[in-house]
Amino acid sequence: MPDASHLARRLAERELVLSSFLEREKSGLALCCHALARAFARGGTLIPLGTGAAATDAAHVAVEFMHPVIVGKRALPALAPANDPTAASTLARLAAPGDIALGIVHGRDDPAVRAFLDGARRRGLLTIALWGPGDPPAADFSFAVACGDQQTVQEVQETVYHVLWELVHVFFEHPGLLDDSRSGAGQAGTSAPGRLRQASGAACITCGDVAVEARVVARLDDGFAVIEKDGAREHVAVDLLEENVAVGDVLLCHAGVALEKLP
Amino acid sequence: MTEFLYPFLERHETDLPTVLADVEASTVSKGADVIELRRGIDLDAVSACGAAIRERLESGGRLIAFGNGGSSTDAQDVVCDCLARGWPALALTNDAATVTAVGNDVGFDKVFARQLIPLARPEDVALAISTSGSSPNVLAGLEEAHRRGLLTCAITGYDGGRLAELPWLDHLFVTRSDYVPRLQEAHATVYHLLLEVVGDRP
Repeated sequence: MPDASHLARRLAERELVLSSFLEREKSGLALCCHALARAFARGGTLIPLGTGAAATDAAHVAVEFMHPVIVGKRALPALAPANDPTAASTLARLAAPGDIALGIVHGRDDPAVRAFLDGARRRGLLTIALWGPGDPPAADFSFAVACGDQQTVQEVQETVYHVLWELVHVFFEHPGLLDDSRSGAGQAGTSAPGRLRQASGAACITCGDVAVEARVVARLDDGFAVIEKDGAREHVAVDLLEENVAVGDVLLCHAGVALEKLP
Repeated sequence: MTEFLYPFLERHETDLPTVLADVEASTVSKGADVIELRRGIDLDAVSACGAAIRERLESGGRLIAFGNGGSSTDAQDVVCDCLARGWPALALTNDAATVTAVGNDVGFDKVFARQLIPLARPEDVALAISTSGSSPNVLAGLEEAHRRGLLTCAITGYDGGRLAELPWLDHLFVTRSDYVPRLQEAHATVYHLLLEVVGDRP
């Protein structure tokens, strides 16, 4: 039977997995909190889904947002589908573009959660994948925990969804960052129709999603630029770029944010 | 003038990189906080409690877990993991019909105790999870379990709350923190390690 020294080793492994995960994903998590806050600000509802043990995490996510443990934080709409194990009916009948789909998988894959996120993406929901050591499906934000122990993965994911909940509220303290017309997000929650169609195949470094290359056609005040791609125009935030942005520059953009100036 | 009344009008998007940087730093420090809390887990006590639970399960007992809110989903999680290891387990909050029926007809303080009266057997294990340690329905559930001869185990936060005052409680784990998200993450580790000691059913 495992003794205390064995358990101490298991704790040390957990520390390594958690700290390396957070170090690697911290910028993606921050951008995800921002996208989530904007989706809630527009009236979106969070729909978390997992199966088996991960279904309990989905319920945990829902109660976290619905009934904040910190007094004074606003309640945010969330519902974990019950009696709809694949959430197919929930997605078809209840979900709307602008909602948020959060899929949770402790292991390498879960066909039901994968199908849920694929369907949500087609319907224009903001999609977030919390995955185990396998390849997550295409999503606006995906966070894979490279660890074969499902209990450790669950613990990292519990920290992730707690942090998402905690830090979404930081953005509510900055209402100016929630306004799409100014923050240039397009419609983060209605991803497909609201954004430029991806064409370049370049990967977004922050979330594994596909980013687009587009040319700057106008420079705005307050850290924004207008970009054009295939005749479509959109505002993007260029604050993250350290270099100056000028008309004619080509930027790699995703979710309303310019990530990189291309040579 | 208007800036004074509406400061956010002037501080909007230009603050984005600053806020994102703050959020990133906060994320990393939250990870350090939970690591620190996990280092406070009494591993000898986990080893002893896990062995006692296994003894009950080997003699035909079942794990019965309960809690409120996020702790109810933790109770459901430990039950899923226990089932996956081949042992019988059930979570009292899985039955929303009974929880709401008892809550409505008798009172919310009795939702767990009432379920244990018909369900519990003396060889079973009661595992209660409560961040405050003082939820009346969790205390009543543990009292009922103790009365019926179950092994009583509890995982809590803060300073242990009223759970720390129960002389008959067999095993108690207190994560000494008053911040619910982090202490809950440490709770997940406590019950995962407990199951690691319990091990798989042969």
